[in-house]
Amino acid sequence: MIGPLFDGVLLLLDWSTLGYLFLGILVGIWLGAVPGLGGALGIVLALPFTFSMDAPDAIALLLAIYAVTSTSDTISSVLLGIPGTASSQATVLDGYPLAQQGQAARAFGAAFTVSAFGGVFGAIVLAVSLPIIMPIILKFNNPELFMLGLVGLVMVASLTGASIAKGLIAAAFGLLISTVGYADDAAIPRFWIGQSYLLDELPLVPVVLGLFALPEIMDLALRNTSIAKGVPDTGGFAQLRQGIGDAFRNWWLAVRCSAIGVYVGMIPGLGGAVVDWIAYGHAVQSSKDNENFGKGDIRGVIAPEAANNAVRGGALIPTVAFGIPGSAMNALLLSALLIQGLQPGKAMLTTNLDITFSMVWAIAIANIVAAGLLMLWSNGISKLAFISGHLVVPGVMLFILMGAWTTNAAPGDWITLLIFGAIGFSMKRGGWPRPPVILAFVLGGMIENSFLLSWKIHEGLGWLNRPIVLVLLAIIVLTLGLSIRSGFRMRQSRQDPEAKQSSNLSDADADADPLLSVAVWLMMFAVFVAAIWISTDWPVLVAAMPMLAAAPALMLLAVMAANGLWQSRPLGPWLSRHAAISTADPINRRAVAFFAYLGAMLLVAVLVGQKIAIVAFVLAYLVRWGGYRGGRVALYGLACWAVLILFYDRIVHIFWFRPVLGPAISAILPDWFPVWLVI
Amino acid sequence: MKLKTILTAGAAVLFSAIAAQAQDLAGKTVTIMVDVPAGSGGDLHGRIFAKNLGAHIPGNPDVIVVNKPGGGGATAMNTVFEQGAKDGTMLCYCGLDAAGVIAGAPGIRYVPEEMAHIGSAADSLAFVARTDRVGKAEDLRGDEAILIGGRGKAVSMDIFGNLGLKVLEANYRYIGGFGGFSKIAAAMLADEVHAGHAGLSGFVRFFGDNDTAKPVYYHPFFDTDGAPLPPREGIFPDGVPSIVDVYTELNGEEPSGDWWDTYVWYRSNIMSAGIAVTAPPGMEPAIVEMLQQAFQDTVNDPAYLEEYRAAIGEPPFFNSTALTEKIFTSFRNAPEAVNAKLEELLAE
Repeated sequence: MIGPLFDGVLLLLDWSTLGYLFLGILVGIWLGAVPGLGGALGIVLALPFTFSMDAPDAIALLLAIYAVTSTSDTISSVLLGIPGTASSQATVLDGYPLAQQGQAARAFGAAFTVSAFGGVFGAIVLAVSLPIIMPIILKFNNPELFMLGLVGLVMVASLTGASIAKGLIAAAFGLLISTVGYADDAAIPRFWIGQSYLLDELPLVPVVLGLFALPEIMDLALRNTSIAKGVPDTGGFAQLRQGIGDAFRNWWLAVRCSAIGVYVGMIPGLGGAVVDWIAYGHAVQSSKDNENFGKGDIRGVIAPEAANNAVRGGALIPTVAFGIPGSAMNALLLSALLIQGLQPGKAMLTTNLDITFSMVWAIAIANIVAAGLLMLWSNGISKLAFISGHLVVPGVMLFILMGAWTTNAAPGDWITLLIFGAIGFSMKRGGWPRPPVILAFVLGGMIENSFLLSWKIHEGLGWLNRPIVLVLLAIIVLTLGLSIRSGFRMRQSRQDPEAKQSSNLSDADADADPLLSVAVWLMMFAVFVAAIWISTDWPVLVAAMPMLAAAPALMLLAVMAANGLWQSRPLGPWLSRHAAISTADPINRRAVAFFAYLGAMLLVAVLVGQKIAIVAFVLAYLVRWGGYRGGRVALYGLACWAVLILFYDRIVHIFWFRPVLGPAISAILPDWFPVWLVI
Repeated sequence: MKLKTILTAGAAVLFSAIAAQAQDLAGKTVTIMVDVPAGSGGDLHGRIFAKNLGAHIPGNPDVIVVNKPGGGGATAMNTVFEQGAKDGTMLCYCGLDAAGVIAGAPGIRYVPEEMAHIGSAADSLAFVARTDRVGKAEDLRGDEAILIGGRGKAVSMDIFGNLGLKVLEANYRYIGGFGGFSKIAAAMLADEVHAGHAGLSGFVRFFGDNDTAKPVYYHPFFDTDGAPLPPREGIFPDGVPSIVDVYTELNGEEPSGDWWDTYVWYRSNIMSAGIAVTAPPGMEPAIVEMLQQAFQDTVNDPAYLEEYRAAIGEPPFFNSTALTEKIFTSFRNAPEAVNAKLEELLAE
């Protein structure tokens, strides 16, 4: 064991291998930092170049990209409130409030420290576990996966905010939208409204960007401020040191969340998109003083960031040991291994153990180097929080739009983004929690599929008495019990006027515009009624999940309505008063204008293509919203156009929308002019 | 007379030069649309093909891959069918969902017969089972049903695999809903299910180094008379029989009957273009021919085959251009008895 461990590090200590490792780290940092890109894209772009490489070089390049995207994705989560990748969604909840308080550097210090720790922890567990882990993984069959999904779902209880009913309804909405597309049990497409875009499933990236990114970036645009609302002082390296200190002070939390990350990672199918939520939920529920979560508690950054780096090492275990990839990124790494002639399985644990350990070393080193680099840069990055929001918005909008578009390269990506952007904005302003929607959306598919398979394999519910199922059931009961106790304490503390303000646990969106809250209620009601109406025609197993999500949600909506009607009686004057307030609210008026800009951009894209439309949006925004003129605007627009052309067109080879006037534009342009520069 | 001959010859040379120039894609970029997300197994197939195709197209154009997943795989084909440039610069590297087309599955707008058929390939397929459950042919008819993990009962690979089990009168219970063979393999390793229908690359990837499961039999290709063809050497582990061998061992005679006829028809028509390279309808025949030739040259290029073996495993069975045309134009013409058996299978 020691010999191959040593040989593994020697394989990396070659100049070319170290060079590729460093290159991978830089590429990974970029891909993680830009919302909507992520490591899978980097690996797929790099993969063809590895065909002719030596195995250590190829492994170093790809694993570095693989390992560090979940370190750099913290940047946009903290600074912009936009998850850089799916595994840093929960970081937003406390990271962004910290940035708004001018403590971005502190959040970075803590996040990068525990990211490095989590990454190394994952690598160590990978090294130690490989020879012995097989029996444990094989114990997690479909019944256990189903219960594990439910464990994740009960974390909703910690994310619901002040109103548990709203949280549960939001979770039901997430479960319901996870059922869009072909059912697992039959070739019956659900809720596809005649659009082939919806036949597979509602894609995660446009939904996440819509629910979280668009409302936050709109907030920045509408409030006419910078991200940080305080004194323009990043706190420099003192804050960074404070963050590092926070990480060390909360070392036990970091260890626990890293362990969660590893074990969630090693179970195929669960993956990185939920691990941050599970770790966050654990942090909230295991803390006695949890009233600051959602408002800038550093532990809300430490927990998900430790877990989402540790998950990478864990996820490699089934990939290397059995050739079973738990995610798209792991499938790509599996291909890379095969290209190098390395067959996952016994050989990776015996004859090729040195290669396996070089993978462990690569992950560990990449995590440490990336964290170090990002810490060095963090002071500069933190300054972004203090520049005018109007300079941040157009550039970030470009990445949000293109991040959504890279999913399927279809108009549906942008339409989904805008619809969920409107829903996210209304939920944010109306005081509805958004995290339960995403958590339930991510887990919904897995929960439904593993339940269906368990039911079919065991011909009923005979699997409920399996030992691990019972243990997980006990955890669910315990978690719910803790949540109820916590809710009870919260209700008691509301009697105290000072504590009242802090009762919106993890509900960072407490603007609470009553009219928008009612609008969300109406939207949910319409969606759930429609879902039940449509589902009645389907076979039982196809209709079960939509029904299970919609029916209880409708009951909760009814209870909410009764309660609301009672409190707001007489209803007529209440509605008139709030309608007048909402329509007069300048934030709401500007929000409508912002959506009108996006709508206009969509129309321009249909007519003349996205390259022109996005740049036009950037220019129009800078001039009309930011009040900028002249060279700065031109330079900004040129930079955005260059990103579209050089990165998305020439490197990623995005399939662009074919504009209506495309043929006419091509005809006008001279033959020697490269058309791809404009359409 | 002599002058006329010279002029005619000159004109012929001129026209062929112009035609050659029209087929020369120098300086252009050929886009290959793939119907699966970046990073999936099918994506890797497409990227290796794209990497090697450019060298075999006159003018050596750049070839790029664009992922266009969605619509159960139909979105990419729809896009190429409806929007693709007709100058040879847009191809689709997609699976022909013949079963979906025949069934009028939602979202399918392309008409396979109308597209330009550049080339196709068929996967080597096998029935893979845990060795402790199906150690010998008789175990297929054991008292306890074999649990078959599957993608979905209407998925063409599983329809075909289950037809094979019907031919053998196996005692099985099919459990659809696994996302792909990686999940089936995981369930087989955990003994949740006992067997599954696998493509060769899937089998090699998940069980190549593992004794837990082995191919029980492979599914042969058939010649135009319906006679089974032998497999390429070295594709499957030594000693793996074909379904014909297993049937003969169990019944003492060669397979026949409606289930067998349906199986043979399905293999020859539906399962013969698991990979299909197509182009938009209405292209110049000369460009189509040029691309068909480029396809054949690519799939016979030792560099391509070597890269394919390194990255994925043994390459699929590449069809001739004539066979590709036949598959695309005759897949709807199933005999009534075949349709009846397919309906019977799907109704179970």
